[in-house]
Amino acid sequence: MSDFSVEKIENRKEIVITSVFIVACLVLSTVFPSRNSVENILKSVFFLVLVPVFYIKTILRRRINEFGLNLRNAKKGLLWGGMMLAVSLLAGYFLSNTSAFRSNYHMSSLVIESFGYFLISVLFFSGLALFVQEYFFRGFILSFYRKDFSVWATIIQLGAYLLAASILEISSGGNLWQITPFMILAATGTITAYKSRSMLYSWASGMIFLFMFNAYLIYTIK
Amino acid sequence: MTLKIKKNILAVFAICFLLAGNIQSALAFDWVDFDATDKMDDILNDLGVNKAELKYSIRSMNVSRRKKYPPKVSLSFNPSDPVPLQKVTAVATPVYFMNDTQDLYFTWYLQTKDCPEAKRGDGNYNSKCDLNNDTRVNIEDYKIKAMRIIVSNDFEWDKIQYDSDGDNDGYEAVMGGDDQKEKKDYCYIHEMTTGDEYQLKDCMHFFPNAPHETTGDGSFRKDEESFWHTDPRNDDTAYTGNGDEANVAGLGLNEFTWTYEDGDKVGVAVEGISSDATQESDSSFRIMWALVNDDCPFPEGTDTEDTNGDGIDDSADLSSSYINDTCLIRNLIDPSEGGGTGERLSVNLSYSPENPINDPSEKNGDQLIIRSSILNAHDENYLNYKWEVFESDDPNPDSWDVALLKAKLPEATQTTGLNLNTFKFKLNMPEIKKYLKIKLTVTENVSEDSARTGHNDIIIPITQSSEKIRVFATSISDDLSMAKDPDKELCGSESDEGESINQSICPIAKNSIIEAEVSEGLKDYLWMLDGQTISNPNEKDKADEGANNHIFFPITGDIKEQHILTLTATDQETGEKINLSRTFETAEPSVRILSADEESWETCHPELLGYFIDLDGKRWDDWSENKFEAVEGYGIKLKAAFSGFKPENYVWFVNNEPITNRETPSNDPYVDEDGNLILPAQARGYFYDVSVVSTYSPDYLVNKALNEYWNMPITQLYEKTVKDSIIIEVKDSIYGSELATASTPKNKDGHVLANLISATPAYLAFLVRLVLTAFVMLFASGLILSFSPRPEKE
Repeated sequence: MSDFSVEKIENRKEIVITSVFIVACLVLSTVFPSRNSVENILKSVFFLVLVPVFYIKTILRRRINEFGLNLRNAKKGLLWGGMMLAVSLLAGYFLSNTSAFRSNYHMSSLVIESFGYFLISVLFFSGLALFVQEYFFRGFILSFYRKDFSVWATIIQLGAYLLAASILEISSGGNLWQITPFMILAATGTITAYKSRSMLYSWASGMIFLFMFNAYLIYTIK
Repeated sequence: MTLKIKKNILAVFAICFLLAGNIQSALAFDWVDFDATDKMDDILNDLGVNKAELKYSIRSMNVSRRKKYPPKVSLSFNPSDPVPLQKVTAVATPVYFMNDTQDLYFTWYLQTKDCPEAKRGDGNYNSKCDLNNDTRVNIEDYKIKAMRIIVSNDFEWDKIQYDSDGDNDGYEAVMGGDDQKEKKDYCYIHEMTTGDEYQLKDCMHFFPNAPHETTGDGSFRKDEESFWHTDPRNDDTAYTGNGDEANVAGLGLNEFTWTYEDGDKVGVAVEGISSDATQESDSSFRIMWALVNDDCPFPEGTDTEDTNGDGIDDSADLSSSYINDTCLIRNLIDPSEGGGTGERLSVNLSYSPENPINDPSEKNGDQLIIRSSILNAHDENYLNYKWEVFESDDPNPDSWDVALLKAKLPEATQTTGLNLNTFKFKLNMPEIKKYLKIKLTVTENVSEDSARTGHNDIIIPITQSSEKIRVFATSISDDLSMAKDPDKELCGSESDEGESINQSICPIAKNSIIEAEVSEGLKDYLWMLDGQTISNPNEKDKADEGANNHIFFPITGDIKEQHILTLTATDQETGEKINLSRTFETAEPSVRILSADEESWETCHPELLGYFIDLDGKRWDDWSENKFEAVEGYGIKLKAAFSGFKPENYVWFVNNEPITNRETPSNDPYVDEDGNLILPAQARGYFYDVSVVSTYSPDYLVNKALNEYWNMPITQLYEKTVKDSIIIEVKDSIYGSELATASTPKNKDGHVLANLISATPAYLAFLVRLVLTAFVMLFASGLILSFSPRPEKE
């Protein structure tokens, strides 16, 4: 068998196994038994960040910085990050003013009343959740499928995110409006990450968006 | 009556005159000696006329003029006792008018609390009440206020421009009523004391007028439309069938509806003709006014005059304006002054049980329940109740002394507060007199300043007795004779159902035969079940009268159906009649898993879910029914509490395994000789899944006895499987227990690893699980990938 065909079989097997691995990580990150919110955060970080890192290093035997954790292409990153931030903010503005978003989006009264709690909520809790999502989807999945599927990798990644997020939200009894800001970030972050080959720029852009968007919502409430 | 007397008198005189003439001619030679009085007496006697009665009739005739009923009007209100902000309708009922109601003029007037009579400059002058801007708040403003409400009919006058008047709603009023056209006006006033009626100097309507306008002049233009807030495009804004100006004049308007406020007073002046005609040679009748209170005193010193020379003064130097200016204001009434039953709340009381018994031993007394109903409250939910209890040895003492303190009434419900229409307490008092009086005072706040109250009381005779009806399961032998099972008392204070909230209703499983008994210190027993006398079906009991201190009977009927067993007997010592009763409910047999005793409650009991707080501020715990918690390191002891029956056998399950072990090994669950489940101590984080199962199935002999003695079809078998399940979580400490974590019991060989793992902190165990899972995932992925050939590296 030629090297080329072996490589092809190996490649396809790698795609299949990795796809199964991705699904397993997603499923385990939700159904793994946990008793409280600390354990929930732990298992999310574990299955969506740490386990993929170990997978990259030990199974795929590649470098971690090839999967979005790098600061190369700073110019592109900043440019696309900035542009996508503006698009996200615009989308958020129209979302909050022309749809039923406001009446269905819930914010903790503690966050509304106290700036300190707002900072902690956005910078730590939302920031951590965003990092986990960005790394797994825009870092790991996008970077992995990019090699074989090029720009279609963005669609695969985005579709996987939207599907997983919707199923998770609905099954936990929540409403989809609650995750629409993250859905906006999924779309704009995908473009940023694809262009800059780094999830760090999309993560930073997302953080700024979350801060500004929630601040705007609180401002309109008050 | 007056006319009839007159006619009779005239007839008598005519006859007398005729006779006198004839008699005179017949007795001409006795002319000189003629005596008219004697002759008259003779004539009257001949005619059968009683002279005394005739005199009486003439005296009545002489004063009949003063006995006339002048026109009157009465007001009724709907509702009869209004509360603020409620719509009230005042209905005027005029009487002794010749006109029909639709032809009378009703001038309504309304005085509100914030509009007292005043002039500009007075401290209490309110310019908003001066509706006609004449610098005075007086009867005219009150008339305008009322008639405006009627004629405007909530028309949105402030949203239109009164720049033209497109309708034709003028009305020319007629003195004395709309049916008095073309007649001359003669207005009268009735003096209530003497009964005299005097013609007034002038006649005027009492209609309210817009500034510089006259109501009833046939002209109702835009200025008046604007003033009265009527619709200039609608002839009849109030939809009464009359035009707007006629409505302002009050033509036929015998009802007035407005939104009542505290302090409102209303009145009406009704103009029409009385039933008395004038003495003029025309078709006129006396024009008069009726006021609500008939309060229109004839002014002293008023000159009166006899205008027709008949010797009776029939005219007064008084103007109609006197009635308007002076009397109307005296005839206001407050709708809320209904008085009598309209003000007082009507309170009814009833109590149960019918023959309440107090138990001086403070254990088994009846729960006395007093229920109230208030018939005429506006809103029963906002009634303030105050319950009081008094006692006396006489049913009707001079004084009941002071009320008993609530602390003296066992398990008494709240005595004062809102919406307390039932009052209960237990008759478990060591000392109590023969009669209790329960008094209820109810108050309803109608407005800020006024309230309605009512009260009632009820006298309840109390019987003292420590007796109670005890209930046992029965056993039936082959010859169908029944005997109680002394080990199976049902619904007793020491029985398993002691946990149930209401022991006074004893749940008994369907198709059970039970035995009820009392102590032997009574005689003359009479047992009744649901009002029907019952007797023992046992042959030997029938023969032995003294055995009637107990009775056997079945509990049948539908689930939840209640049966009342009553016993009437006589106390052998005191001779006092005693009435005892017990209520049974046909229940579905059931079972609950409970902590076996107080000691085992310390180590294992239900989880506390939260608290209820009642209106007294007392806290009641809310315990879970199927989740228990246990202290780490201590054994657990549970019992099965059956309701409605006592089973022969039942099975415990622990973690879905049946427990048949009745020995006493230390580390496995087992059942002790009392049927309690004993579970070994475990480390924290351990879970037990415990359940108990039994089958309720009356045996064949019971069914046969039911058929033999009570004619129940033998085919109607009733069986039910009863089951209860709980989850026990072992923790390091539990609510309400002072037990802390005990030392972990020493383990046998072979359990070291399990105990090691179960003793690790939970988070660490979680992390270990995470790592192991990740390891498995990575290993599996790597293994599968390693099977495929790799390209040779150059």
